[in-house]
Amino acid sequence: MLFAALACVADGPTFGLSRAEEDPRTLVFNNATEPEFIDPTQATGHPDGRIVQELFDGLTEYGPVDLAPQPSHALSWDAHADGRGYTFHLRDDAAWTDGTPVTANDYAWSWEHVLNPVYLARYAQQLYFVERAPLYNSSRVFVGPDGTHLEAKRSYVVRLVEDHEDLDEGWLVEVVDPDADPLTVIVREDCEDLNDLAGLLDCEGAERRLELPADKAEPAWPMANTRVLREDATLHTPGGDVGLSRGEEVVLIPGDKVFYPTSEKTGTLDLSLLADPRGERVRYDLVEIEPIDWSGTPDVEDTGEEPLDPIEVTLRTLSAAELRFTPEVLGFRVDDDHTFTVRLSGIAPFFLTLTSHTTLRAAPRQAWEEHGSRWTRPENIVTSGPFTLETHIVRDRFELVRNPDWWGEVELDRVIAYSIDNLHTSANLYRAGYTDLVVANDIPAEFIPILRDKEDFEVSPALSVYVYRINTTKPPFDDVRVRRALAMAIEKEDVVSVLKAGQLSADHIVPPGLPGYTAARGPGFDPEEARRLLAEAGYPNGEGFPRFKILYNTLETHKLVAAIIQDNWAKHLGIPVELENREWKTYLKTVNNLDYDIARGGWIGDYLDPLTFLELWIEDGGNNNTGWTDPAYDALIVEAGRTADPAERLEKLAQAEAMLNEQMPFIPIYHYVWSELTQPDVRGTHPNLLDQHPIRYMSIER
Amino acid sequence: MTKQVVAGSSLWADAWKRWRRHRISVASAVVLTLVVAFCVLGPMLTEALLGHTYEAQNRALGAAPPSWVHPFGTDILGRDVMVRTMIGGRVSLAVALVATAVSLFVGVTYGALSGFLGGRVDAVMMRIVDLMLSTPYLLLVIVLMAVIPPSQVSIGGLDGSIILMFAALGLVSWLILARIVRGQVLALKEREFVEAARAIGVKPLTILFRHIVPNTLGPVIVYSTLTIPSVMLSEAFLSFLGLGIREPEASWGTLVNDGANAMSVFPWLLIFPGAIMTLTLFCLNFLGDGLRDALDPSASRT
Amino acid sequence: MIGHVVRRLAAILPLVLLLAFSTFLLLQLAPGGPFDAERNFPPEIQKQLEARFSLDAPWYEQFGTYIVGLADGTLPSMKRPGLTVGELIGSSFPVSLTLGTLAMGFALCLGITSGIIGAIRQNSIWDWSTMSVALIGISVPNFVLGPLLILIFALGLGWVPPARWEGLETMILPAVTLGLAYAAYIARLTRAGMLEVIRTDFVRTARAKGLAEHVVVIRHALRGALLPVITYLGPATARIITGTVVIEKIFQVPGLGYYFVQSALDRDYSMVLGVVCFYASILMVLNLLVDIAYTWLDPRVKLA
Repeated sequence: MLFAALACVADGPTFGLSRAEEDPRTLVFNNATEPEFIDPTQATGHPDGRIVQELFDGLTEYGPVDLAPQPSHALSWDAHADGRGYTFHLRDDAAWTDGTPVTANDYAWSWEHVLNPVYLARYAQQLYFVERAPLYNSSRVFVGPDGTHLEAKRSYVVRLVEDHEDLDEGWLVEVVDPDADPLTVIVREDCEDLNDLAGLLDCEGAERRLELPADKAEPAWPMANTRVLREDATLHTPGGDVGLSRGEEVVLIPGDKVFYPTSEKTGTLDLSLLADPRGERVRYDLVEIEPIDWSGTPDVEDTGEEPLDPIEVTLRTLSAAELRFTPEVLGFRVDDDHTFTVRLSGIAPFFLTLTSHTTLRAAPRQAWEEHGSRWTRPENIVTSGPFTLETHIVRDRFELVRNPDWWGEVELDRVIAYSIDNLHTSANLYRAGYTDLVVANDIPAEFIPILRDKEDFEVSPALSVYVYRINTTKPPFDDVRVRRALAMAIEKEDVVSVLKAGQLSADHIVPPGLPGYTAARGPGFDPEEARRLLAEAGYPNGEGFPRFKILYNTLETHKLVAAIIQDNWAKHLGIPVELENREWKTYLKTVNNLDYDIARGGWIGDYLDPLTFLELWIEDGGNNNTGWTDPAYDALIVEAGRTADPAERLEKLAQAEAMLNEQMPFIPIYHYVWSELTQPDVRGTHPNLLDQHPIRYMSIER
Repeated sequence: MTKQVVAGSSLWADAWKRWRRHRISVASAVVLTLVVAFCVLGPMLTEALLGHTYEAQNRALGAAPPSWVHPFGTDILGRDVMVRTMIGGRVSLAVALVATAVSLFVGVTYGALSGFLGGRVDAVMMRIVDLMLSTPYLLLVIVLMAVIPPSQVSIGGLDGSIILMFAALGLVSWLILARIVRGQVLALKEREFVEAARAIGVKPLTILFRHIVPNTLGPVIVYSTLTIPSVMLSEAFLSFLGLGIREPEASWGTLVNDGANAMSVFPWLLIFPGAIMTLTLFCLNFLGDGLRDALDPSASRT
Repeated sequence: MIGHVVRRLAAILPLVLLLAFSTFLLLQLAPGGPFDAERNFPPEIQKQLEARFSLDAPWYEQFGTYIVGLADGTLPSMKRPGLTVGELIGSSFPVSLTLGTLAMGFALCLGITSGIIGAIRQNSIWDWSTMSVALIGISVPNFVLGPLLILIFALGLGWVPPARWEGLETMILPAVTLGLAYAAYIARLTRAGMLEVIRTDFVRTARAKGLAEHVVVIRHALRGALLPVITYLGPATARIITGTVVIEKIFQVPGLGYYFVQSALDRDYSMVLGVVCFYASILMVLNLLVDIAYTWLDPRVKLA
């Protein structure tokens, strides 16, 4: 009957109809959704990346089979002896499509553009391994007089809980580093006996410092004097007026002066125009930091010494005009037009995978200066890669054409990328023979059982993981025994067998496939032990365990997984669990606010190293969201960043992973896979962990 | 030509006779009753006879075409499509009925009060209605559904998305009804029986709701028969867009959406819920036609 | 009459503002903002993003910024800040307009023709079948019809592409899906209208005069019959505009309807406001045009 007839179309060795009659020099595919940006400094996810990586070259390019760095703009590179940096030698035949040659200055300009917070680059974190990058991104590092580098450290206010030396209980005092023990306290003459914050901030007197044991004080307030302008304003400086725009950040200096970091001016302005978004008040003290060591690179030896003790300089004694917010403080440098040196904040052998990343590719300064944010329109755009942009219709398609001046060779003349965000439609288009491939995971899950035997379908391991975060700030989840019990009571094979797409169950977070890394295995499925632990924690057979909810965002897969886990916990531990589904934005907000009990989450690795998963869980990790921290864990991560020997380094990371397995701030459930459909006549694409398939390597044999 | 005996024959009896002659409308009513029975009683029967429920998953089976065991086939989780169509029908019909009831309640009360109170109050109240009619209400409803998380509105066992639907759709349809009722009330309140009641000393509100309103029921019923399918369609369309009924509940709209997604490989997921829904709307349309003719034969026929 | 028109036009602006304000309030209630994402941005960036779009300003300021930005066309979309709301609407509205026009054209052609056939051959097999098809057209929701047509004609027979909007062949299925329900209504109205007119003396006279049948139909009967159709066009057009939302989703047409739903889901406040204001204005102008057309067609109708 009708069903059989329709099903007939699905018969045949490939899922997609043959495209043998189509032009072999044109590749057509659906790019999963309309990209948000095609400016490399602003681009975010994979759909953005697929277009950016064909228009713009980077220092290196992902190798076609194993992602190993291939020379691109950089013909060769030297690793620094201490493992904390690289010097890149650029080719001299690379040029922008407007004729200007590509030089190291382009990279310096682009990377600064990514890290300068004024430009609001959302993926700035990709550059955070560069020395000083995180500080720069938060406007906290300046160059002072005589070139000293200064870091603006937050100071905090604490209240004394008992008398200490000549300070009385109940007083508010400023503290340089709230995590230190003993605390270094700043006391200002004639300002000691203050109980209000505003008074403390405005007080000016001679300073002295003394030490205070941390247990004698309790946190009172973080103070801030960095504010955001709520509307356009004019800064009146001795050298003339400066126009400032809404959203810019300025530093408030007592005495009603304002310092504008972006262009080093200080002056006065109507303070009512400043917004204080968080309602907090935080002061920054300037602390001198060791300048970046450029001497003798690439032969810098790691002496293993700790950084020098900072010399403490406060903002008020230094004229704000003497502070410069400039890329000089950043860890990269242009040695000459074709030499670019980068210093990293730790040992990062994977950095050369990052140099192929979208965000680290150079953007054309000349186009940006001429057209502003409209520089990526087809009529304005300037590119450096194998293709240039001919057409862009929002929500319809991008059309790229071959760049005849490119230094390399490419087999395609034209690339058409549709921007359809409905994956069923995308699959239908492929099925009816209108596209050459379906990008990873743009395939509806329900089709997978049918696709399994098709020649054009391929499944490969992905560097990503599906976890259940546990809110460790909420009892009873603050008890590690409870967390471990929950983890051990899940039969993960059950979950994976339902999803049917070849995912792998996970008992630890780092997915398999990273060369040289032997992961620390976590506790597997052990219901007996789980019950024992739960009983030990005070809930024998689940009695008395409070009702809680599993939070997930609305998607069939998540619901399925949650239902299975709910089942498992009821069966093996006797704990009744509820499911709670929220739509995407609400779910994000709830997780960020730590408003949940257990929440589903996922992460895709950015580079080929276990650190991309392990660095999530350090204190203040913006993507941690479990409330869990452990200074020993943080120390281990930092130490790994100082270990030059690759094998030793990976071992330290494995130890860190073992800590996570021990403490269970989250439960790893499974590792994803990439499922893709590719017409058999498309060559040059290979499955890999990061799902990077540079189109420049592809060709079509028809 | 036989003369109708007027004595003892009420308005309703006349209407009933007229309606019975409209064969297609009667047939539609019968089919509709069958569909309702299908949706309301079906799941229990199916569970008894075949053992399926709407949530029982058979993941090993996955999506299978129609067979004796699963007359409408199964979906990707192995759930029986026939039972899900029945359950979906319950939700769709319930939403249509409740939303229409909401709009009836609001519209009749508003229109009746406006017509009865007359004068300035009436003018203002009708102005408000006109204002609301001139705005693209549906657009606001879409924004509302997209933006209010159903989780915030759940009451007891009833999922928030269903409650939102009742409110949103009910609030769209009451406007024209208010106008209609108001028009009727304005005409009726000048009649003798109202004057008589007033003379006796019956309280105004009682006059309004006990005497006048029941006489407006003709057009109200006609309008409702138009509203029910339109509300059902709105619910389905919102659910299709992903804004309406959400997991774990299902409605015909969500079933059709899921079916449309998978139709290139599992066409039965689209065809059965779609056919039943179309059949229901078809019958509702014809039933409405018939009722309209029966209750208000002066309206032009199409 | 001019006075009325002017009054209506003048009323549009305050109404649209009122609508914008209600939408703005709704958006404020919704949890989550435009810049929440699974991968958290550094907090400084988050703060700056929100400041740039005045999300931390008091509500009256925010609203003011949006309205001013919309009026002078510079308001950027929050999801795609490189593009302004005006540009996004400007590039997608013509698509929706084309779709709507094609659908309406199809509806008129098919509907009027079927209606005429039905009326002329009343109670024959032609009549019965066209009217049944018409009834099915009214009852099948467009989101059932669309996928069905794709299944049969695009995936099954391969006559047209299953999605996208590029070239005439891609426009057929969306226009048909959108227009079929209206074709059905128009067929019924035409038939009824024609039947009424055909029975009148004036047509009988024309026939008696010996004029050919088709002359009778076209010249005399049709004109009268089309009046109800034309009065129906007004509400139909408005409904077609909202109908595009679903059709665009099914066929992946890059029109304005998509932004409608998606920008609310994305919490792209500027885009939501832009689209709501735009649609509202268009619908109100349309209503006005329809009312004017009524008076012109049927002088008995007076505008309030």
